[in-house]
Parts: sequence; structure tokens; C-alpha cells
Amino acid sequence: MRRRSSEDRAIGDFVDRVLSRPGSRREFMKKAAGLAAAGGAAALPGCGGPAGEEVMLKWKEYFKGNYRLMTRKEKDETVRRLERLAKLQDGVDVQVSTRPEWKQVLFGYGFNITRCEGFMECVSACVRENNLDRISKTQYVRIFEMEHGQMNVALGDGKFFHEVPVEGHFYMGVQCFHCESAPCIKACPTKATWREPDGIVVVDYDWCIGCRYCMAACPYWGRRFNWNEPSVPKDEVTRKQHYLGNRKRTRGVVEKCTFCIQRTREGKLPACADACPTGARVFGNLLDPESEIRYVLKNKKVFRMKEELGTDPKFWFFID
Amino acid sequence: MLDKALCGSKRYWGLIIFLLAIIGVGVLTYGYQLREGLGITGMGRSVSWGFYIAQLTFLVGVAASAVMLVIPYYLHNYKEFGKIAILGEFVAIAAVTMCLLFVLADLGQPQRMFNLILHPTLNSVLFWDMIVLNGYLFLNLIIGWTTLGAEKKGTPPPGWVKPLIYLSIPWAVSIHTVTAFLYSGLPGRGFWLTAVMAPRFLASAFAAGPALLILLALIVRKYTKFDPGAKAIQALAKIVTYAIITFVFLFFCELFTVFYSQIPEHMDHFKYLYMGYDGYGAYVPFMWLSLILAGISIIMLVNPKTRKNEGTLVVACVMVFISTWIDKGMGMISGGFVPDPLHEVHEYIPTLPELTITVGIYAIGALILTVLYKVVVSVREEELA
Repeated sequence: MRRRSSEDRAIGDFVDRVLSRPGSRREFMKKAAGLAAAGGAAALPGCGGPAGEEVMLKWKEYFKGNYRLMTRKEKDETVRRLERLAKLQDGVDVQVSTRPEWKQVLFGYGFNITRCEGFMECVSACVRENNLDRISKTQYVRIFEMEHGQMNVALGDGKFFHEVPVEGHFYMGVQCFHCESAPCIKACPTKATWREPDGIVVVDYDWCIGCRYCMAACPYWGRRFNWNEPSVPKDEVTRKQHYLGNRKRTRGVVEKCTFCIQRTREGKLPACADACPTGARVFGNLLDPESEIRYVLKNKKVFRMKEELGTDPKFWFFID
Repeated sequence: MLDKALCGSKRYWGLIIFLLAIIGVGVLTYGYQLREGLGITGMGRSVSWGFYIAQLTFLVGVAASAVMLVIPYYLHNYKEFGKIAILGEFVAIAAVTMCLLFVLADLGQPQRMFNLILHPTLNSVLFWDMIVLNGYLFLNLIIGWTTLGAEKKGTPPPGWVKPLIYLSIPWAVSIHTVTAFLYSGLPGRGFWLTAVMAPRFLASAFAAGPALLILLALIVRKYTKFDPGAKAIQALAKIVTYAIITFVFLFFCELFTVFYSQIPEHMDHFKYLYMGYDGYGAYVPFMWLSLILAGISIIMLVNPKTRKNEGTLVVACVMVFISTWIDKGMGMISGGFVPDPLHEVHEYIPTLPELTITVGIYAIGALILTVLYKVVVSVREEELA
């Protein structure tokens, strides 16, 4: 399994290198964007106005490249455009980060099924933090209520709505497990989704064509699609954002849990782990022997969901 | 040669206008989908592919079946297929065009579709599907057009087409194999995770495609002076017979593995489709209809009397076509998503706009087919005159 995925990566890297040669696609895209923007500006009456500016910004956004092929300068430019667009379109001041991974960090997650009591604080914290669509009620995290005597989510109830905890039951959280050998990444026909060096599986929302092959490929139901134009009330928008995380998505693209990349790369816990009132959620650096997640892996009995599929998730369930 | 499509009878133009009207409604509905997003379809978080991808899957098979004419004619020099090989190639053109349109209709961000080419991903089966489908479209365009052009001039086709014709044989197999691999390599979907998927796809394709060709050949014979030949139609009927039997056989192979092993992840999809699961069973009557039609058509096709009688042959071919369409165009995709990987059941029912767009794309295919067949018929009628 692992060997094959490294081969995939080798092929991917090769394609990346070919594509990112100077004078190739990126140069072309830039020129095309420049030309088109000039044309667009000429065609617009009163181009100085906010409407004209918005069209210009959107036009330039359309011609930008895949995030992984952008230079530092291009990243800064798109961030400026996105921040300005958020102001123009929604009237909110956001800061979009492009902070890369920390060296010597590989994120891992632990979920204590003895502790979780199904309060779902994690779910609502996630919705707020990640600016998830309120219309379709998108949620990255799901909690299943399980009867004692088995450990199969298939037999659990993922739609419970009553006072918790219920006698004779326990609770299991399911979200994107950030697999090391992720079937979803392999499926994507445009390289719009990939695994960052710190282990976070991300989506470039502006490169995704919305084919949803990744959703068919994921054995954990970890991905969400924007069937409608997502919407968040203005005063509820989380303004500290990351390009690969909780920034504004459009309809027709796939999104997913990013371990709250905008928080974790700033040294904070993901919103779900932060919000958990029972301490059932453990998050940390797998490469740091002193981290809590390493303590869990060393001292608790852990298991992973559908381990037999060989996807190698970075998310472990454990029992006290 | 395309000028031949510009002069036709009233009936011809009536058909063209009728198809254009349906296409118009389809295009308008697609505009609505572009504006509102894919939320206007019946798809959702659990069933993330629906009718569009299902039609793609079915039509790839129809397209691939042109090879069932090409192999006997070009490899075995079976002369009877000389006149109708072109009919198969033109069906392939129409079918592949519809396939590509269905992919387009299914994309959440169609304006970004060129990202497929800008940033190719060799490890994604969908990327390869795009490559083989486009390649097959161009192969058939070139082959069909040059051979017909040569025939019009009364000369044999130019030598350089031969290698392309031979290439089109494995290519036809590849388009349906790659389309099956789209599904059969996904670890979380027990319904699709089976090596028999590609053979099953090919078998149902080689039944549905030639069945459609028989019907089309009979329509052409009825309404024009061009006769595709009774012997050719009978040869096609035998191909349909073997293919539909193989298809049902492979289906039962799958059924055995799934139900004898009793592994819920594989079995529950079949339970959902054929018996209903967890209180949901919208597809049950259709799936049984598909099986029953396949069964009756096999009896009719195996029996030489009913196969050789063109009246009953038509009935059998219609049955084969409907049976395979239900299997792939309805059950194959929905069945794979229900229950979902967390074993929850969300039933998928296509919405009216979704069906309108689907019918619109079928009308585009029918229009392409009508125009291309008109050209063929005109060229052939000239030869007779």
C-alpha cells in the first residue's frame, strides 16, 4: 500500500515539475489573465466603481492556477483579491492565511469513546469555526450513538436527537480521518486535493471542478459538496481564515474537515477538540514523543475505522 | 458530404425540429441548473452521483458496441456487415458525444473543466476515462467520415484508415473497461468493488448496442431505400443473444458471491435494489422488470423461430435495451450509493429538472444520429439510383 502511494506521488511530482516549468502553463495563464483583465476593464462602464472592481477581481481569480503551483507572490496576490472580495461582496474583513506546514510536524487525532457523551459541542464549534453553509446545514463531524456490545458504526444511530447520554450507549465521532493512503486523493482527476506535509488532506476550492469522484472514493463519508451557494450570516463569519481551510467556498465544489488548518498551523487545537466538554478529543504532533497523542498511542488500546482497507488514517479511537 | 443533411423530406425536417425543441427545453433547464447549482437535482450528501453519471455509464456501452460490427467485418472479412459497419460507427459518435455532455452536466464547476487537461492526473481513473472517450470519439469521426467519403467516390477507403480501424477495436473495449474501473476500484463501495464489473459492463454493452442497431437498421429500411440486409440483422441478433446470456450469467456470478458470503457491505446493496432495505425500495419494481425482460428476451432470442422472425426480434431487442438500461441507467449508480459507507440509507429519486436535462442530452444524441444517418442514407440511395 505505502509503496504504491509513493509511486503515485513520484508520478505526481514529475507532472508538477513539467507543468511548473517557466514559460509553460503558468506564464500563459498569467498573460491570458492580464489580457483578459485589460479587455474586461475596457468593456466596463465606470470601471472605477465597486461593481467594476468586483468583476475585475473575479476575472483575475478565474485565471489563477492551482495553489501548489503558485509562487509566493501569486499567493499573496490571490489572498489580497480574496480579502477584498469578501469586503465587497459580504462586507466582512477577513484575513486569509497561506501559512505553510511546520517542520517536523505530523498531525494526529485521538477520540476517546469512553469519554464522549454525545453533547455535539464539537459539531457546532466546527460549523462556526469553518464557516459551514447554514442553508444546507453542512457538518464535517458526525456523532453516532452506539449500543453496547458492538463497535460497528453501521449499526449506530447518526441522527439521534434527544437528551444525552443514554444509558447503555456510547458515542463515536466520524469525520475526515486524513488517511495517509487516501483513496479520495488518488481519485481526483485535477489534483485539486492532496495531503499536505503535516498530514492534512486539503482541497483547493478554486481548482476543484466538482466531479465528486473523491466523494465516491472515500470509504468514510468524509467529504461534503456544495449543492447550493453556501451562506453564513455576516456577523457569524469566522474572520481568521486559511486558503486551504475555512475561507469562503462557492457552490459546486467539494470541501471537508481540514483539522482546522487555520488554527492548528497557528499552534491551536482544532475547534472540535477545543470545544469538547468531556475531554474526549486529543490532538497533537505525532512526531513529538512528548505529545498527548503519542501518549495515547503508547498507553491506550487504540483502533482505527475500517483498518482493513489499508487507508492508514491519522485518527485513532481509544478506550480508557 | 454534410450538405446531404440539408436537403430532406418534410418528415426528416419535422424530426429535426422536434428534436431541436426538446434540446431547447433541455438547454434552458441546464441554464437553470448553472444558476442554482446542482441542488436542483435529487442528488445529495449520500448519493453524490445520480442520473447523469448513470446515463454516461450506459451510453459508453452503446458506444463501445460498434466494435461488434467492426471485428467481424474488418478482422474476419464478414462481408454482410460491410453496409452497416458505418451505422455502428455513427451510433458510437452520437453515444460518446452524449457521454461527454453527461459528464459536463454533472460537474459542479463546468467552467473549470479544462483543469482536467491543465493539470492531468495519471493516477485518476476519471482522467483516463476522459482521454479514452475523447479518443474514441475522434477515431470514429475519422473512420466513419473517410470510409463513407471513399464510398461516395466509389473508391476503396485510403490505406491510412486501416490502422485506425484496428486501433478502434481495443479502444472500444478500453472505453467501457475504464468506465467500469471508475467504480470497481473504490474501497468503500461494496456494490462496485468486484472484478466482474468490467466484464459485466462489456456483456451488457454488447447486448444493448447491437439491439439498438437492429432497431435502427429496421427503421432505416422501413423509411428509406437503403436496405442494411436481412442477413446482417440476423448476425447481429446472434451477437445480442450471446451477449445478453453472458450478461445474465455474470450477474448471477456476482449474486452468488454476494449472497453466499453474506458480507453486509456487499449484500445490502443488492437487498436494497431487489428487495428494499430499511424501508426504502423505490427501485425494486424496476430491477425485477429488468431481470424479467432479460429472461424473456433470452428465451425469444435463443429460440430460432422467434429470432428469425423480424417482428418478434424487434420485441426481443426492445426488451434487451430496456433491461440493460434499467440495470445500468438506474440501478448501477444508485445501488452503489445506498447504503452509504456509514451504512445509512438515503434514497435517490431524480428530480424533474434533472430528467429534463437528461432527455435534452438524449435529444442531442438523437439529432447527431439523425443527421449522420441522413448522410449515410443519401449516399447509399445515390448508389442505388
